[in-house]
Amino acid sequence: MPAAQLFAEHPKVYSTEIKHRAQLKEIAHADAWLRLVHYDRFFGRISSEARDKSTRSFFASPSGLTDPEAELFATIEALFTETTGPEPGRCRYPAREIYLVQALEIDPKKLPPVDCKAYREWLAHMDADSASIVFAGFFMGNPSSMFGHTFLRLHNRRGVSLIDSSFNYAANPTTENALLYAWLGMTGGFPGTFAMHPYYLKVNEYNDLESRDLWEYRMNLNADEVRFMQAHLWELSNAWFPYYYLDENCSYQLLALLEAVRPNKKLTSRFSVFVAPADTLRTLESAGFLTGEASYRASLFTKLSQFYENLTIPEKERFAAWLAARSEPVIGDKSDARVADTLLEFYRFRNEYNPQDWLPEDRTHYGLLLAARARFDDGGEHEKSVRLGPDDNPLRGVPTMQWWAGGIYANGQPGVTVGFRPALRELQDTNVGYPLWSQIQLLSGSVAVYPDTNATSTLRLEELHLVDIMALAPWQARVRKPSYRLRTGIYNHYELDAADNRPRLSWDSLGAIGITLSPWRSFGLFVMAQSEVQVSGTWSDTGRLGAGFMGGFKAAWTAYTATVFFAEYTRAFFSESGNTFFLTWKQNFSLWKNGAIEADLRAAWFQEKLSPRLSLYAKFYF
Amino acid sequence: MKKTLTLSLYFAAMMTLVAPTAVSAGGYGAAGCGLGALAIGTKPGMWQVLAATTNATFGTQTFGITTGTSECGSGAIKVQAEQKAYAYNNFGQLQKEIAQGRGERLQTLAFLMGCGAKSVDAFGSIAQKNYAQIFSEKTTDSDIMLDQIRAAAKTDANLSAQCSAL
Repeated sequence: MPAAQLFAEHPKVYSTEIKHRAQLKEIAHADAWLRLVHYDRFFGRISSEARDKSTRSFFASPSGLTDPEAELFATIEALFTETTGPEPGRCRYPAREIYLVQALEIDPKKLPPVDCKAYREWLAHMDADSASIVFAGFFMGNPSSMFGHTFLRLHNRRGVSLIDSSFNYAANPTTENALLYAWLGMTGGFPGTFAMHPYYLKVNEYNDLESRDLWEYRMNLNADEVRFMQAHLWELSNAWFPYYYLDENCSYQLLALLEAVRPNKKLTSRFSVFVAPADTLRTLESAGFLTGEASYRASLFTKLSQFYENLTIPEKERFAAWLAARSEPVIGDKSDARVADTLLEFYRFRNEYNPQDWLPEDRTHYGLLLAARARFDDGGEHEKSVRLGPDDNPLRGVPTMQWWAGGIYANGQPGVTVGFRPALRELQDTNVGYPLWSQIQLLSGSVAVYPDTNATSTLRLEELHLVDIMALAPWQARVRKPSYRLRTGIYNHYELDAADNRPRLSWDSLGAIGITLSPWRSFGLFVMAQSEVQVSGTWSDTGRLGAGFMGGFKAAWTAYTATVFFAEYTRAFFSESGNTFFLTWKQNFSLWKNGAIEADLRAAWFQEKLSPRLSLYAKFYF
Repeated sequence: MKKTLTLSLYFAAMMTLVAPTAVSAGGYGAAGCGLGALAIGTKPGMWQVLAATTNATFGTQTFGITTGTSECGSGAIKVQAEQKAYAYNNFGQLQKEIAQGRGERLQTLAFLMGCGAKSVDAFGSIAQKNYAQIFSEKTTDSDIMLDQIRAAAKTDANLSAQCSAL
């Protein structure tokens, strides 16, 4: 063998040649490489969003965080020369290897032979050949889940769904203090990591524990892409990311992962304020990642309410009788089985997930019902009756950002108004793909211009919601949960001294709790006890503390037309400011795709004076 | 002064309401093979998704926990470990579905017990018929439940033949 060839066979020499090739091809700044190391360019500065879990577990180079080229060279070096230790280079960077072998035409035979046992077994355990993105519905019980959640599911070749593998990106909170939690969650104070779980754990968590419907969207990744994604997930198991609740959240990191799989697609934007999980579904659909195949897993509550609705009147009576008697029933026919199944779901929903935390009498009766139910085989018809329709599909919902423009009439003056809402929806917005009974507004606001008024104060802030949540929980299927409302922000109060044209801004915070009755599916009547604190120089004593009631209704006449009406009365305490009475009426007509016409009337009675405000505008979801 | 104090206290209370009151259960421990579950125990009372306290223990090493077969041995031992993990984490759902004689949790268990597609329904029926034995007073944890299900399936000649991992 000639000396020159022998010399060329040396891994050091070959890796140097590969580095030259990489330099010539400018791989260090190729999209595919930048995405594999999660580099991000912001005003010319380049830095990776990833962090090492332990010293150089993710980055091959000490300067890898900000230097893509150093990271590239160190990776090539690691692939060729790090052959010992618990995780040789090739075992730590399987996705980088796949990419570099292809991009730099590396001869795979010249890579050092290593056996990546852990990685190999991990892949074998998953045995995956395709993938889905799973959306867990909006959950009003926990603010960090109100916008829904997305995670990844890898399908095993055997087609047994529940033992699929799922990958979930989430924050690992380091505090239980609510205020600190909110602050750290918004500012990147928690480390976010991908975690892997059997799919049945996620189904149990979302469907049963939190009662959220799951929607599964099959992706069209081919087997090579799935393998590449697994390889990259393996690399990411050595990394963490600063978690930002609003933008760099579960959805953002899933998109970043998929961008690494298909570098020719741009899915994330550094400049978006808020990445809503439901929007990522639409992003993936329009970028061609979805096959169009969607399926769902109904939550415990969906199941219970549909079971209950499907009962006949005599069956509902039997349900009530069995619930009252708590004795072991005789299940003799399919009708009895339907009642028993409904009652089983009722007990499961009413109690904690963990049976040791159940009401003892519920646990006892549940056991008796199971024993009786086991003596009758009904063919499973009831289970099959649970259906979610196309209008429930979150992918079919409107995008979560909105702006609107239109006319306004307040204090006897006409004007024009524009507004913007980064997220998410008001109660009267179309409920296709969204929960019928909840409203969440974050950082939404509007301004108005009144051409008639003095030039000094023509542009006015109408309202700026920091947070505005209304979660109605209709009493149905004999489940009784409270409805609530929380709101804080800055509001223009026309009712204050209307003779003067200056704005009347007040910082208002409000909380209410009560009940919602729903005599039929799309109509809800609510009444709540409400208290508020208002801070502004325009109130006497610079503040007003009020307590009282609010009540009204929401009617969804169709999926695209809804009315919300409510009255609020609060009495002032410790203040000379006086009592307030408001009427609010909002009417939405979602007339075209991603757009609506809305009318909004608000009337205030304050200090024996009526101040109406009417606005009519077109609303655009984007 | 007093009024201001009352106001600010009220305001603080409001803000606390607005801020998250519950910490998400996002990072609970995993079960695959090997298993967090076995470290925690098999009492049915604990088949809950592990609460926030275990986050610190398991949250950051989930990939490690589920790296597959190495912690579970191989062959029959691995299969048994998978069955145990599954039964432990789905105890309540399995109990309900066995009473009803069908369901996806039950089908998946049949699969983990090596039953072919044709015998899945029969597996459900046999389990339902033996509900009283499977969930007797002696069934204090998910391992005992599994043993009882196995025993029931073995009483049926067809299932014994068709399920390879009873």
